[in-house]
Amino acid sequence: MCSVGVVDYGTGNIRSIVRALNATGICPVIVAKQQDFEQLDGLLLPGVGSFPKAMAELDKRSFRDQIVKFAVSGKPILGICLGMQVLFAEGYELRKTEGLGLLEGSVTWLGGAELFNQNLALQGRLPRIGWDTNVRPSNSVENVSDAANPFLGDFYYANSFGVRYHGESGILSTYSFGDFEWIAAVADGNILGTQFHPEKSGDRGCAVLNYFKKQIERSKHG
Amino acid sequence: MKFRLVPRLDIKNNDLVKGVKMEGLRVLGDPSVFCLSYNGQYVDELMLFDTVASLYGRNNLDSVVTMVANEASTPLLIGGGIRTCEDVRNALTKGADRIFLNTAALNDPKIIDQMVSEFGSSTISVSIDASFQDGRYVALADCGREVFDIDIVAWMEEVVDRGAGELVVTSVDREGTEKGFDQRLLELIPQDLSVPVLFGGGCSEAMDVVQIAKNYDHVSGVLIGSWAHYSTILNQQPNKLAEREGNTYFLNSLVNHRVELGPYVTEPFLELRNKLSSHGIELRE
Repeated sequence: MCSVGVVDYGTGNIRSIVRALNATGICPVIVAKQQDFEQLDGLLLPGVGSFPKAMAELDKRSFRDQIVKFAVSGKPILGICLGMQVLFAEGYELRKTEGLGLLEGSVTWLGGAELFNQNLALQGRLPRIGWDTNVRPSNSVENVSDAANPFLGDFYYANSFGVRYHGESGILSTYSFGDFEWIAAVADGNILGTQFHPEKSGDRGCAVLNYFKKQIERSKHG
Repeated sequence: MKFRLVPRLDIKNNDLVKGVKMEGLRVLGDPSVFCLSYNGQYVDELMLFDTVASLYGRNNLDSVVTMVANEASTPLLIGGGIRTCEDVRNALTKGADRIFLNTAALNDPKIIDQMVSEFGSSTISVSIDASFQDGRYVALADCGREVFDIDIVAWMEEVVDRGAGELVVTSVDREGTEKGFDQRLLELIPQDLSVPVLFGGGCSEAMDVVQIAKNYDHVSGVLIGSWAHYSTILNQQPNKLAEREGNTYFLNSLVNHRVELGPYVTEPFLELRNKLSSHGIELRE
């Protein structure tokens, strides 16, 4: 059985994640101090709150280097919601904050400057709370068939910030808000991230966690 | 986003209770039985409200929340007695995904700003219990026990300005009556609020929800209590209605006499989903 560290840095709803990992046949291990990063097969970064707060909490526990080191080792990492956002280079929630920098791109407000002239109520209200449909990214360069892509379909969201999609590789699904396409799921090498909450998204969410599990098994057995 | 169907469960001392206009609470049974049933009917979220927490200054919900979070994947919206950031953190730790405030926000609106900066707007909703009195709507606190004579529309706007990520608006006058949603209150909610709005109080059948979903673009979802709970009760085996404390007269008479109740359906949320889909309203898959 593979063991996945669930990083506890004071801002996540860890209980739901632990339940969902157990249901997937993954053994969750709570990671609350630096030594806990040892002997894990995979790492899961949850997150509720704001980008600067999350980074401050990670730094307070000296987790930043540990997470980056884990990523460089090639073992799979999954970031969920804010946990996905902090994998990117920088965030603009409240103020500009440096992220973990494992992925290129920046986290911005979904109702950003370009949307100001439009009627937000017509575009969709913020935060996005509830279920929305992930689609295959436009201009997708990924060689993944829809049938083999567990990131498509309806998932549960709660977010006001996100990462714009600009046609990068490694993006497996997107959602739309305003006139733009935003990253719903990224799978760049061993770095996985979902803006939605797989642990709160029923059977589809389980399929996403299963994908993570398979990736861990592959990485374990070379 | 898809239109949301959210069962609202009022909890008192670990029992699911239901009143009419927030009074005369009847014990309906074990809340986790109802939660798991709704979880299996693809509801979008579950709303759990501690009806006495505000009054006694304590939180009874922890064990119910944890039990449900351990068994079900449905996101949980939790409220009743939440006053401080510490209360929010505790609720999230116990298994809540989002929380809502009412009394604490009315007593000290600045608490909204604090909680939003700590937990993000998508975690913090504000619940507004509205009642029409002397020609205007007022806001009720402490589960209907206290009246705040404020301009309810101005309050909705202030709450949004302070960063709350959602409004949960309930018509107390219709709550538990199953007489249909409060159109007058619906019309009062500003159309240009930037945040989602959940609306509740009075649902009596699936068509009530269809009307809201079709006619009120600014309503993101509905809360449903009595209609769903009584439907669920009538579909349980009488002997499964475990012994509960409090006002169990209703439960006992159900067991003994199979009391005749209204037009209830076996699986209320599946029925709702079918009806909404047939009217072209998009729901989660």
